[in-house]
Amino acid sequence: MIQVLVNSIVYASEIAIIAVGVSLCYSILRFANFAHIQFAVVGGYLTYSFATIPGLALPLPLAMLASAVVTGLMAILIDILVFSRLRNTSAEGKMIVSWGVALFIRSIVAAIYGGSARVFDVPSSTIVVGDAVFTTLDVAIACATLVLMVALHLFLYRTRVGSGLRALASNQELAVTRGIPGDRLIRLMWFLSGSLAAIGGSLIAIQTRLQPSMDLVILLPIFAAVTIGGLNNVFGAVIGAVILSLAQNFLIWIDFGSLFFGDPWHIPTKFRDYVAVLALVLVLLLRSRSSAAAAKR
Amino acid sequence: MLDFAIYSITIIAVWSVLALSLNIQFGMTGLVNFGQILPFALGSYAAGISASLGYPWWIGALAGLIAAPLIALLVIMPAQRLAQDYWALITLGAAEIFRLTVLNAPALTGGADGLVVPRFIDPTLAMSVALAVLAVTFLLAQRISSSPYGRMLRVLREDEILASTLGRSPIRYQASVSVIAWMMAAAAGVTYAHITGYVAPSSFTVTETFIIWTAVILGGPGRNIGVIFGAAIIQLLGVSSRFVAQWIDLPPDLIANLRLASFGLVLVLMFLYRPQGLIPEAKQVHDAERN
Amino acid sequence: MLSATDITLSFGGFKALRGVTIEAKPGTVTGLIGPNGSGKSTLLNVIGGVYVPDSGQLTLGGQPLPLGRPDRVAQAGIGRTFQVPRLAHRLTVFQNMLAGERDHCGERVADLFLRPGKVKAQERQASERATAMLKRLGLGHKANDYAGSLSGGQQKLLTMGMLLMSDPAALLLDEPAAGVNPVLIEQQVALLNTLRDEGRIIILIEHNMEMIADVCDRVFVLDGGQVIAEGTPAEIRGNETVIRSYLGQPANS
Repeated sequence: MIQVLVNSIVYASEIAIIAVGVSLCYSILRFANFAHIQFAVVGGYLTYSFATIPGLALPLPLAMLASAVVTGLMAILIDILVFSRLRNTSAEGKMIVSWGVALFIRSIVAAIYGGSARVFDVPSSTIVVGDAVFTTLDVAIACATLVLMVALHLFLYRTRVGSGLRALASNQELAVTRGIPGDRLIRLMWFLSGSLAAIGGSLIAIQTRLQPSMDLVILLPIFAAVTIGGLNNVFGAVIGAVILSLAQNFLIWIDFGSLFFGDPWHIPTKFRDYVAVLALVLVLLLRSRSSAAAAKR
Repeated sequence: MLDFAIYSITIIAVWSVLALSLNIQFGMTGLVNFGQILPFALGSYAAGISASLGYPWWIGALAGLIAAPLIALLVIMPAQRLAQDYWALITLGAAEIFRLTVLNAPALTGGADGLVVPRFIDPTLAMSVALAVLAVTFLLAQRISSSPYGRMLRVLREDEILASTLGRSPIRYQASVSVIAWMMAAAAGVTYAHITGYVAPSSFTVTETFIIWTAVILGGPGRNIGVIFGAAIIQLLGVSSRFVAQWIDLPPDLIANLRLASFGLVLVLMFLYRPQGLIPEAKQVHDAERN
Repeated sequence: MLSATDITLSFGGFKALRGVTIEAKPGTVTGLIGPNGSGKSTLLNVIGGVYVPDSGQLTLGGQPLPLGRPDRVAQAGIGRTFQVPRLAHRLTVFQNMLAGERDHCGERVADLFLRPGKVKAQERQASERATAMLKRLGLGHKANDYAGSLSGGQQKLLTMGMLLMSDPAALLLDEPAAGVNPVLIEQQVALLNTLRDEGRIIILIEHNMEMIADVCDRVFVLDGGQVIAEGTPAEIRGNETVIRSYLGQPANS
């Protein structure tokens, strides 16, 4: 039981930190940015490079920091080159373009680093609490996420810049006519979501392994988490990640066989991804029910 | 050289059918299907599974053509009345679920290794079949495009609320167009399975979906001949880059990745500089004299 | 007769409509007036099926109308226009008109492929009516222009034309004269009079008091989501409550 909770928390942490960026972007620019997933992949690879390139070999936390900054700047660059010129394009159009961007980044990463997996060599020791086994790395990941989420919350709700961002999210035209520097704040949003994704991607890479195809592994859980939280609600995405992670881990943990048939039987671990899509479908079914009552536009 | 031309035409024909299928969904109706590879995979696997069970080819073809529209209705049901963001997510999710299912049910699908399908021995026959499927699909798509049905699909693309205040139920049109489009893609899938001789999950990833998208955006969303042109360019780029790789001795991996990167770039550049595509949707001019 | 009885609707905590009852008879023009935010457009959206009311009923000719189903409401013979015209911008004016055709067999997939003759016949018929209607609206020369390229006033006329293609028993018109030049307004008034004489039900939201006085047989005044007065335009003009709440403002606000 504790083991499942621990696993859930660690997984939710990794997903949440990437998912908040998707909803940040959605809340301000009103489109689902599929390129965001690639920010996480790029972040992971940059961290790897900063930590391993001979002559540089930064300690891991510093490498992650550097990776976060560079990925954040890359997100701004992409906005300048692509999305800022498409502000008047439909949400569908921007979403499709974001796939183009994603395809481009993904292939460039794969071209540079190759398709084989890389593993971070991080020393960590095992902690045993009751019958739960986890590592110091798990604790570090959960703590890092917690700190970052609290910091993001304080930033959004306790600073002037943060409240500017929130004003932009709730009513862009009004915010701009009130003298809020829209363009600069949008750039800031890109930087924030890019660097958060980089840290999230690095954490996942450190805990599992680094591979260009990791984007497909995290794509559905992240968008499921964001959808559960309600696309444009930043901390809804965190709650979505927690709910999804708990659902995934508990469904695998519960001994359905003993419950119903007497013989122990578990849902195989490989069906974890189904939970993400299933959750997505369930949420959408509920939402289409409720939005049928209210007008769509 | 002739072999190469025959092979290229065959592949272009198959992908043109996929592009036409996406075109009537997205180009005409405005439905964002990010799982376009799913009906293609359904067709391929219907052919593969029926072959592995020892049935003749037409059983597989029939199974594919029946399964695809049924799954289409199942997939779009949760997305009805929702904005296109959600259509995108749900179709993407459905395609991934199918791929995972194929990977996780090796008894039926061969898992990651895939299934062997009887192949067209004669490449000219393969090409002819692919061209025949393309011709039928093209005629259907043209008929839809120039008909009152296609006009209402376009009204739906422009403004769903307008369509419903004109007395049309948007979901009925979205469902019927999805059924037709998914059957087209399934037919392409069946054909493709018999051309390549095997089906495996690695042929049906998100990346393949975006190759189809790139073809449609490049060629001209809403224009049937345009998206065929787009598919031809994209596939020619694909096969010729393989040639170039052999020539200048670059690792095939690298070439494959650069090719995909260029597709991504094409998609972005088209949206930035020519969103209407190379061959834009034609204005349907009414000739008063004709009446 | 088209009637909406005891309609209430709230968005979150805001009560947009509080028990509104209106009636409109065939062969009359019924005006809805009131300050901005008084619930006029919301009421039209409820009748048109875009919003689902929290309570209340709608009937047309004694038959109950489905709630929250714009397509079914339209099929029942109620057509509507919007304050900001809704059009298929990337289709031509003529194509938009044809989209207004009711029960087009060419929009059914089976007929499309199996009965091409029937489809062609209905398309030709619809084309003739569309041509005539465009001429009547003074848009004949624009038939092959993209709808999105028309001026605001012309777009409003076009939406009216699309509506008339379906030969509706009732028309719900949301500010057909706003932002339209005086010549086109005169044209619209003439059109409304003809439609009334044809025995249709017309419900009209308008800020242009002159137009209201010109064409309306009966006027309902809304304020704060309630009907505060009803009567002929002349009666409304003399009503104290109305003057205080609404007509006290400059007429063209």
